[in-house]
Amino acid sequence: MAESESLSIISLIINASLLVQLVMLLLFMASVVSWMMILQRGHYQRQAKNSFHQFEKKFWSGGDLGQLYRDGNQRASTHPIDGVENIFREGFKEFSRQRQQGRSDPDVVMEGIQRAMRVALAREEEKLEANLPFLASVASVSPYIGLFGTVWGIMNSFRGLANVHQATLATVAPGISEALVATAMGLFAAIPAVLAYNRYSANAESLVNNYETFAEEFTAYLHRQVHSDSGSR
Amino acid sequence: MMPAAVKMSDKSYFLPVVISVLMHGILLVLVVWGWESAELPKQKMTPRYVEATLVTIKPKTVQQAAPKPKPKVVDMAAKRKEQQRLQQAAEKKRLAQQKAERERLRKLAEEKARKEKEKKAKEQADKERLAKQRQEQERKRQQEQQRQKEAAFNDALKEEEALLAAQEDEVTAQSYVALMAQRIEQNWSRPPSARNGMKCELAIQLIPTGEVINVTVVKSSGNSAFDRAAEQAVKKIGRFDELKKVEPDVFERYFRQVTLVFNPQDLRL
Repeated sequence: MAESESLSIISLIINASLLVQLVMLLLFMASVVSWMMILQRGHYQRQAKNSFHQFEKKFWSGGDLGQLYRDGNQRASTHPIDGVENIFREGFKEFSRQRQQGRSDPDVVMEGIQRAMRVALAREEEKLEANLPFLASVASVSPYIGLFGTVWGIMNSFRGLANVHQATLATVAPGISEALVATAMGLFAAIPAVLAYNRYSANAESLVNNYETFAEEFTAYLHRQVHSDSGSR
Repeated sequence: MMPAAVKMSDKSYFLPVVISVLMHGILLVLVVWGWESAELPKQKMTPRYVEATLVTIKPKTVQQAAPKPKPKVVDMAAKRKEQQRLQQAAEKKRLAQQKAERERLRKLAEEKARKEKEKKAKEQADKERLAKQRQEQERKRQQEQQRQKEAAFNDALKEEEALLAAQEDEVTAQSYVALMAQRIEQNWSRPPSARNGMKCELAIQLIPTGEVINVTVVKSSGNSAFDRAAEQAVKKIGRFDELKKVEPDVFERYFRQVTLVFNPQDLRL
């Protein structure tokens, strides 16, 4: 009965058994990594949204699309291009390539453009949703890990209780309180992960929808272009 | 395309990593330092419990035979002692007053006698002798009175001494009873329904070796599990070794059949 030492959280953690300590460490690491991903995702998605709006404005401003593509080329040499601009660039690249090769069948040309844009879209979608599965698994698993640590700690505390002649609340309480720290840490890691996962997957979905809409619009535009080209020839 | 993307993501991960690690570091520091103060009331509670269990000052109680560990006992004895002292003081004061009174009376009488003598010396020798006789009688009577008073005082003193001795015995007995209660408290297994403030009276029959012959609950606490646990604790102890040291007459007077109020202090509820 040496509870004369303080029952602060840090001393509880230090006095916990090895397995519980491991569980706590794991949860702490999970929390660190998931926060890292939360911040990175938030930053990336915000950037993607901004660049989408900017690009859309530029696209519908009525300028020359070839000029827009060349601007993009210049920027691509300095730093990589993200988001909706990639879809546009893939589509436009395919369109100009087909035109250079002198294909005349508009359906074949359109099919190639559409395929190129679908590939770019899929790649962008993947980028938007990267790391979200990790957040989802942290959100769903870390409470269980914490619970495991708690159950283990309480189990040990009760096993120790079996040897004590006079069982008071004071003999069990430190062990249980120590074990509950693991659950607290599990919840601490899980709650932000759940919130972030829900928010970011919804964001990603709406952005992908926007991209798809844009791709359709761009396809329509190119379709007009291709058919007018073939008509004039 | 892909290598570029990887490169980009490498760069963009740096800041989140730093922020996340910093955030958790701050949290750790908060846990280590900041929440210590919030734990303080809890810390206060634990020593109270320790204090309750640590009432094992056995040698002290045995050597001094002073009822230090049980404040209630001390109270009783101290009160009685105080009363006695007050009584004694009152008695002494009264005696002193009486003496002073007597002195004064005697002086007065002497003066009177002297005056009378002066007056009647010339007149009659008979009368003088008579007066003398009377005076002597008076003195004798006074002496007698004084002697009686002294005897009464001595009697009272003796009585008091006896009372004092009895009280000392009682204090010793009480300290032993407290010791027994402590032993029982150490050996009883606390039923879950026991609450603070519960007490029951146990009648324990003992023999001079300290062995328990019989134990019964005289006054229930109202909780049968509590009563049974107390009874079981006494039966489990079986023999109070401390009682071997008790003098036989004290044992006969107090411990042949002892009534003990079992009022455990180690409950937390």
